[in-house]
Amino acid sequence: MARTYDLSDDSVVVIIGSGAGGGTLGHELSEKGIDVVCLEAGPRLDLGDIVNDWGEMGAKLSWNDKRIGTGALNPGYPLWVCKTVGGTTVHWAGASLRFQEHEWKARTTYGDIAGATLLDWPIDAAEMDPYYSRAEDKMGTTGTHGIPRLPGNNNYKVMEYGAKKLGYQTVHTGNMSINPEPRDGRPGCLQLGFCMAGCAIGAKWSILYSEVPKAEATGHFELRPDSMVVRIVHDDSGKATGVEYLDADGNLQMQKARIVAVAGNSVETPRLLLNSASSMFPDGMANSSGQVGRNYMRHLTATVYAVMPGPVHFDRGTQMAGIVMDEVRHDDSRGFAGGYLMETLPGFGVAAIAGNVGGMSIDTPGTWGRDYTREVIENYRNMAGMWLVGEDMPQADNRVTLHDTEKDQYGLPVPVVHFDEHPNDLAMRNHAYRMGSAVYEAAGGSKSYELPPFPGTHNLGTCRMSANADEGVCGSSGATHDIPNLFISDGSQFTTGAAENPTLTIVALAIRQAELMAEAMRTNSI
Amino acid sequence: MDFSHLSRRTFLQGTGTTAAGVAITGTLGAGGIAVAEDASWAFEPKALDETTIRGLIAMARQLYPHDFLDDGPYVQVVAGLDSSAADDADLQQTLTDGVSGLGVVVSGDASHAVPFHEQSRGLQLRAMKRAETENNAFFEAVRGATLGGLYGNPEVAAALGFEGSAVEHGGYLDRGFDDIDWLPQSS
Repeated sequence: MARTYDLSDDSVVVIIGSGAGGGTLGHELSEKGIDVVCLEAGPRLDLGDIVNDWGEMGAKLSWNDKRIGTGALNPGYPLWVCKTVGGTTVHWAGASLRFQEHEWKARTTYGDIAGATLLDWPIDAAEMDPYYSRAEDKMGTTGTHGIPRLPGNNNYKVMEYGAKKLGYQTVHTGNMSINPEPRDGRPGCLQLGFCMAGCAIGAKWSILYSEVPKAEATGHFELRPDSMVVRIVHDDSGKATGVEYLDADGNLQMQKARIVAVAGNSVETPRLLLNSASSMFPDGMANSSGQVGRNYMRHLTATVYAVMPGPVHFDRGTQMAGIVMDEVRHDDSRGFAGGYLMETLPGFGVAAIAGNVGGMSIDTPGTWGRDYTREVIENYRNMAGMWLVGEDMPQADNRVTLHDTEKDQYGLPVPVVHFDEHPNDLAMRNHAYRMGSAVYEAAGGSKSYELPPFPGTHNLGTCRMSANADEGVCGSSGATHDIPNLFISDGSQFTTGAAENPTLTIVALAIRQAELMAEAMRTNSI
Repeated sequence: MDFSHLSRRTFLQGTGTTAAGVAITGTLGAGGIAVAEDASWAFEPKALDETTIRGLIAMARQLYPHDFLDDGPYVQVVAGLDSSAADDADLQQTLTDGVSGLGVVVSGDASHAVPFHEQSRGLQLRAMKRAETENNAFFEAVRGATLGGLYGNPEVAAALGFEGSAVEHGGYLDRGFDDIDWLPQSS
C-alpha cells in the first residue's frame, strides 16, 4: 500500500527525519491526502530487532556519527539520540506531560534574567489545548482520555514513600504513553523494564510501529530509510525546491518538493540549514537573523541514585512511570526561575551503574577497588534512582556550529555543540539534588549519589519560534521567517524548554503544523 | 549506557565488548594457559604473551574484586582483550607495555622487576595507582574492558541483582515488579 514517488515529483512535501516531529507530521498530512516523502538517515527496524540488551540496542539505535561537545558537554558524545526510523521515539521513556500555562510565557513570567535570551512563545496554552488532547489520544497517554495510570513498580514505591513523607502531594505514576492495557493495536505493558532500549512488545507508543504503518496505509506516504539529507536547494526567488540526499548505496539523489520540513533533532536540523548555505544565503538557509543553531537547550537534568535498606530491583518494570510534581511550579522563593520534576530512573544494568556512579559522582571511594565494589556495585539490588528534569535558560552562545575542517563519513562538516550552564540552571540543580536525596533519606536510604547530566536526550531550541523575525528562526506555524515553504518540525522550534519531557509537545505541535500546512496548500499560499 | 568515560571511543567499545561476547575454549589446548585450577577456564591466546595475560587477569580482579567470584569471569574479560588485541596492533602494544610497567616494584630510588601477577596485593595496588597516573591510556583501556566485560557477563550481573532480558519470561508483571516488602505502607 505504501506509495512511491518520483524524484522529479515537485508536488510532494519532503520531511527530513521520522521522529516525534517528522513522523507525526508525515502521518497527519497523509491522512489529509497530502503526498509525503519522508527521508530518514537511519535504518528501519521492526519489533523483532528490539531485544532486552542495553549494549546491543545502544549500538543499534544511537546516533553515533561524530559530534564534538564543548563547554559543559561530554566532548566526544554530547547527545544521546537515535538514528533509526522513529527517531528518539524508539528509545524514549514515554513520559508525556503538558507544559504548564506559564511556561508558554517564560519571559513575562520570569522577567528579564541576565544572560538568558528568554522569550514568550508566539502560541499559548489555550491554543495548544486541543492539540495536546489529540496527541494524548493518539499516543494513548495514561491519565488522559479515560486511560488508567500504570501500576507502580518497586522503584516508584520507594520514591512515593519518601516523597509523601517529606510532604509532597502530587506523586503518581505519571502520564505515560505506554498502554496499561491493550489499545489501538498495541498490547498492554508487561513491565519488561527495558523501555529505553526500545519496547520489545510495542506497548509503548513509537512512530516506528504506531504512526508509520498508518501513514503508509493511506497511500500518501513514502518512507525512505538510510537516506541522509546533505543539502536543501532553492530557486532564484529563494523558495525551497527540494533536497539532496545520499541514498542507502551512498549515491547522491535529488528529491524535488513543494514544501520541505526539517525534523532532524536539535543538532541535525540547524546543521542542515547551515550546510545549505548558497550564494543567496551565505550564512545558511533561513538564517538572516543569525539565530540558526543558537539557544541550544538540553533541560536541567541530573540523577540521584540511593542505596536503600532492602532490595528494590529497580530494573524491573516501567522505567519512568513515577513522578513527583510539587517542584515543577515557578516559585522565586527557591532562588531560581522555573521548576523541575522528579521521575523514576533505573540504572541501565550493572555495567552502566558500575561505571557511572564512580565516574560521575564525587561521593564514592574512587572508581575502582575493593571499597568501591563493596559500597556501590555490591549494593546494586538495593539501589533506587530518580532523574531530575527541569527548565534550563536559553542562552545565545549555547549553539550548534560547523567544524572548520573535520568532516564526517558523508563528507559533511562535523557539528560542534557548545553548552555552558546559566546560574539559574546551577541553582535549580542544587535544589533538585538536595530534595532528591532527601526523598531517599526519608525512605531510609543510607547513601545517595548525585550524578551530573548524562549526554542530552532532550535537545531543544536551535531554530526557535519567535513572534519577531529577528529573534528566532520560525514563526508560530513552524514556517521559517525567511522561506515560507521551509518548516521546522521538531524540538528545534522550542522558544523555551519548559520543565516537562518534550515529546508530547513536539507531537502536539506537529499535529497543529499539519493543519496549518494543509490549509496553506489548499489556499495556494505556499 | 555507561556514560562515565568522557570519550565516544570508550563508550562504543564498552557496548561492543558486551555484544561481541567472548569465546572460551573448553579445554586446555596446546599453548593454552591454565589460569585457575579449573582448566575449563583456559583459553587459546591469539595475540598476548603469558606474562601479559596473567598480569591482566590479576589487574582485572584488583580493579573490580568480588569475593564470590572465582577467576573465571576475569579470565573471560582478558580473553576478550586478547581477541581485540589480535585485530589491533596498537592495543596489543599498549597492553604488553602496560603490564610490563606494572611488573616493576619501586623501592626508594631502586626499581626491581617482579612479574605483576606474582606481586602481593599491596604491591599490585601500588603499581596500579602508579599506572593510573602515569599510563592512563593503558589503565583506562583495561578498566573499560573490565567494566563492560565483567558486568556485561550475564552470570556476574545476575549474581549482583541484574536479571537480564525479561521479554522471553513475560516481563515482570507477574514476577515481582512491585514486590517490595521492607517499605512501610505509604498513605
